[in-house]
Parts: sequence; C-alpha cells; structure tokens
Amino acid sequence: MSDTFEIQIENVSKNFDDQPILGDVNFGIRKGEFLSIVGPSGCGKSTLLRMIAGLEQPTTGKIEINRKVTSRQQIAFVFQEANLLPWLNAFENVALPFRITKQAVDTNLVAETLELVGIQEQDFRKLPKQLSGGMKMRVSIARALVLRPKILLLDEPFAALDDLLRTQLDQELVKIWGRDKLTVLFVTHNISEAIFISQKVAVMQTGPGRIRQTIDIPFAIPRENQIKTTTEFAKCFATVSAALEGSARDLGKTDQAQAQNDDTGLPSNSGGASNSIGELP
Amino acid sequence: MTKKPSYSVAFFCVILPPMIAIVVLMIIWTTVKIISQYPDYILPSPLTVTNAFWENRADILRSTWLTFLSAIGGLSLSIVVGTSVSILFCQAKWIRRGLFPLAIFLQTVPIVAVAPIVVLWLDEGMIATMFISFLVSVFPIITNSTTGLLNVDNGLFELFRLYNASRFQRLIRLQIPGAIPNFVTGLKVASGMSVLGAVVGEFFCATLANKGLGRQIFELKDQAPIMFACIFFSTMLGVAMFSVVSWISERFLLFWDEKKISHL
Repeated sequence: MSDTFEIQIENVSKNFDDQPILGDVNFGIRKGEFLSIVGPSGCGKSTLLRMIAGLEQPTTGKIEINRKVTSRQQIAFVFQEANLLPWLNAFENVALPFRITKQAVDTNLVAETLELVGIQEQDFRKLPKQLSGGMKMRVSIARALVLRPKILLLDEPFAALDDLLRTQLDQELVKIWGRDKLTVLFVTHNISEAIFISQKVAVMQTGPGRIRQTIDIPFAIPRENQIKTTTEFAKCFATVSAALEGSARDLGKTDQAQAQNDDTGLPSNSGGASNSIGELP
Repeated sequence: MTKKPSYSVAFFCVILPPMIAIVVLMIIWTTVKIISQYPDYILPSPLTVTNAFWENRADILRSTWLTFLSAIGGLSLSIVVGTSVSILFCQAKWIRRGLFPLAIFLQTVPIVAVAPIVVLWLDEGMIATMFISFLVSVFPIITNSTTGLLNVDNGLFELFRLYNASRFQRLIRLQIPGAIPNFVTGLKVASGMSVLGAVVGEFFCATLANKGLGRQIFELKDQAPIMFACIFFSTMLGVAMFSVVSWISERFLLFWDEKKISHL
C-alpha cells in the first residue's frame, strides 16, 4: 500500500445473510485528513466504519491500516450513543480503556482529556445519570481520545443532540483534530454538518453501498459558524445534495427514493441542514 | 441527585400508609370476631393474641431470633452459591443447558416433603434449617443473576470488543456490575423465601436448641392465641428481612441505576 494513505480500502464488500450491504468500496484516507461520509440510511456507511474499527469483517476485499498504527488501541471509535458504564463516574469511564487493556491509569492524562472535551473538574465524579446528553457525549469522546489514538472513527456521534450543541461539539472536535493531528473519519447523515466539519465529504449510495463521489471542501480551518450562511457553503451543499439525490435516484423506485430523501436531510425538508439553506435558490 | 425527603414527608409517604392499612385490618378482624362469636381456639381477637404474646414474650422472641439465624444463614449461602452458579452459567450455553434443569428442580421440589429428609441427613440442628432455607431461596438468585449477566447492553459489549477485552475483563468490569439490578431483584424475593424455608425446616426439628418459630407454630396448634402471635412474628421477620435487604441494595448497590424501582 502507498505510504500516503493512513487507511486504504480495497474492493471491500459486505453481505449480511447473503444480502449485499456494501459492494466494492475503494478509497483511501490520508494521514491527518478529516473525512466525512454521508449517505442515505442503509447505505452501509456505519458498516464501513465498523469494519475499519475491526468490529466487523469484510466479506471480500481488504482494509489496510498504515503500518505505523501498530495496534487496535490506536484506532478509537465513538458510537452513536455515549455508551458510558452507568455505575462509573465520568472520570472512571474515561479511565476505563486503561483498565481494560491492563495498563496503569494515567490520572493526569484522564483529567487533561476530560478538560479537553470541556468537562470541568467538579463534574469528574458525577455519574452518567447526573450528566446531560451533551456531557455524556463529551465524556464518550474523552474516553476515545484518552489512549492517544492516531485514527478517530465517529459513527453519527451527535445525531441525538440539538443543533446548537451539535455545532459547538463539531467545532471542538475540529480543534482536537488540529491539535492532535488525528486522522478522522466521521459518519453522519447531516449534510450541513459534514461540510462544516470536514476537508472532504464522501457521498455514498445504496443498493449495494459504494462511494459515489468525493467532494473537497475548500474552507480554511478553523471554521466559524458564520460560514454556513455564505454562498460558498451553499454551493458545497448543492454539490453534496446533488450527489446524494443522484444516489437516491439510482434506486429506481421513487417511493423508496423519497423515503431515503427524508432521511438524508435534503433541502426539501427539515433537519439540521435546512436552517442556513432554506432561502437559497 | 434527588433531594432527600424531609422526615415529615417520609412519615406521610412511607410509614403512615401501612399503619393505616394495619389499623383497618385490625378493625375488620375485631369486628368479625365480635359478630361471629367464634371461640378463641378458632379465631382469637387481636387483643387476646397481644396478651398471649406478652405472657410468652421471652419464648417467642428467642424463637424469632433462632429463626432469623436460620434464615440469614440460608440466605447467605444462597447469595454465595447462587451468584457462583450464575457466573458459571454465563460462561457457556452447554453449561446452562446441562445444569439449568437441576436448578429448576430446586424450585419445583415440594419443600415440605424434602425437609424431613434433610433433617434426617443433617440432624435437627440449625445446619438443617439453614440448608432448607437455602434450598428455597437460591433459585430466584440463580435465575435473576444469570439473566443479568447475559443481558448485557449491546453498545457496552461492543465497547469492550473494541479494546480487545479478555473474557475475564468483560466479566468483572461489565457483566457483574451490569447484573446487579437483576441480582437485587432475585435477592429481594430470596430474602422473604429464606424465612419461609427456615420456618418449614423448623417444623421437623424438635430439639430445644433449634426451637424456632416454625416449631412453636407446630407445637402450639391447640393454643391458637400464642400460635397466632408466632405466625405474626414469622411474617414480620420476613418483612423485616425484605426491607433491610431492599434498603441496603438501593443504598449501596443501585446508587447508579436510573431505572431503579423502590418498594420502600
């Protein structure tokens, strides 16, 4: 594999019960790149991410991770739910990866990581039931970052949060990415979020899932929330939407395509994306 | 954290309702007694029972203590054996398939029929009553704990898979803590059952050293007022065990549980 790619996916397909979910996916992610994957639900974007994390095995093809990433511990995964252990407080939840992998807990690093994601010291000893949804997600991200991974995989991590909080967490995630020089793969169904957060957006299509198009996002980093109202942003949005719409049209069945549209947050309906884009031509 | 209720609130919400219920029950009981004119050997009035208790208080309290020892011994054995068995059960499906019928056997065997055999084997001492108490109370702990150990949240399970956790790590860091709510449910049922088992066991133990409430009830068949007092005390012993177990569980084991249901 070429050294420029941190993750290389070659001819990967995946079947569930003989039902093809992913068919022949090919792409690479460069070291230090922030890439988002958008696509209609059921296109296998989560499955692809889970295969990179090693939670699933591809039916055919191979996924290669850069040789310098020596162990599974250097690939972190953030789930859609916070998945905190309810009997452990925030601090202990973040310390958990040390304990599972039988390493000595680096308490300074745990505290530092918690502060990095915006959890204050007085909240370290709080149980998950005492934390809000946004805070739980922050703790979950801290847990993923605590072993200092090189690759960060996120599976719709902020889908359950409100728009304002999501934008805030998006920005913080970008900051962490810049600071730690991570390679980030971010799965979302929110186009606006994908454009706002990443350098590249990969659009997936269904039946079976594959990468339809990869779109470069031109904005400099760090990004302010205001860019969402610029024409440039609208153009990106239109490009991604068109790619997505095309992928939905490929299904052939209009009713099903309509259902997919509803799910992907296209301009025609509500969702996080429509806020900034509603009045555009 | 929810604010601790004040004592007056606790009184009106927790203590008053059962007190009212008991008073109402006493009134009904007395009324039935007065109207029916049943003799005391069939239905003694609450007052007669209270008097009978007072006259035999030393004897009854001593028996209650002995029954308590049998029950707590049986319950402790159930906790140790029950949790160990459930940890064994969650290791492999074939173990469960092979041994679960035996666990069900414990639940379905008529304990009144088995108790005399146990007493025959283990002698009439407290070891026998503890063992019978154990036989009756272990099943709820086994089933509930096994369910809890196997019923792991899928997301948390994947988290452990992500870090290549060993089976042992998964057991002690995920499955065992996660099974605590189910274990507590089983423990609450078992706490009441343990008193039941102890009382049944004592029916068949005629030694003076092990003359618990069960034996008293057995021997005092023709002295209804004292027998009623003994029945009342064995019931209250069960209630007390249940309450203490519930309180300890909720205070020390379930502090983190969002869905916890309190019976107190």
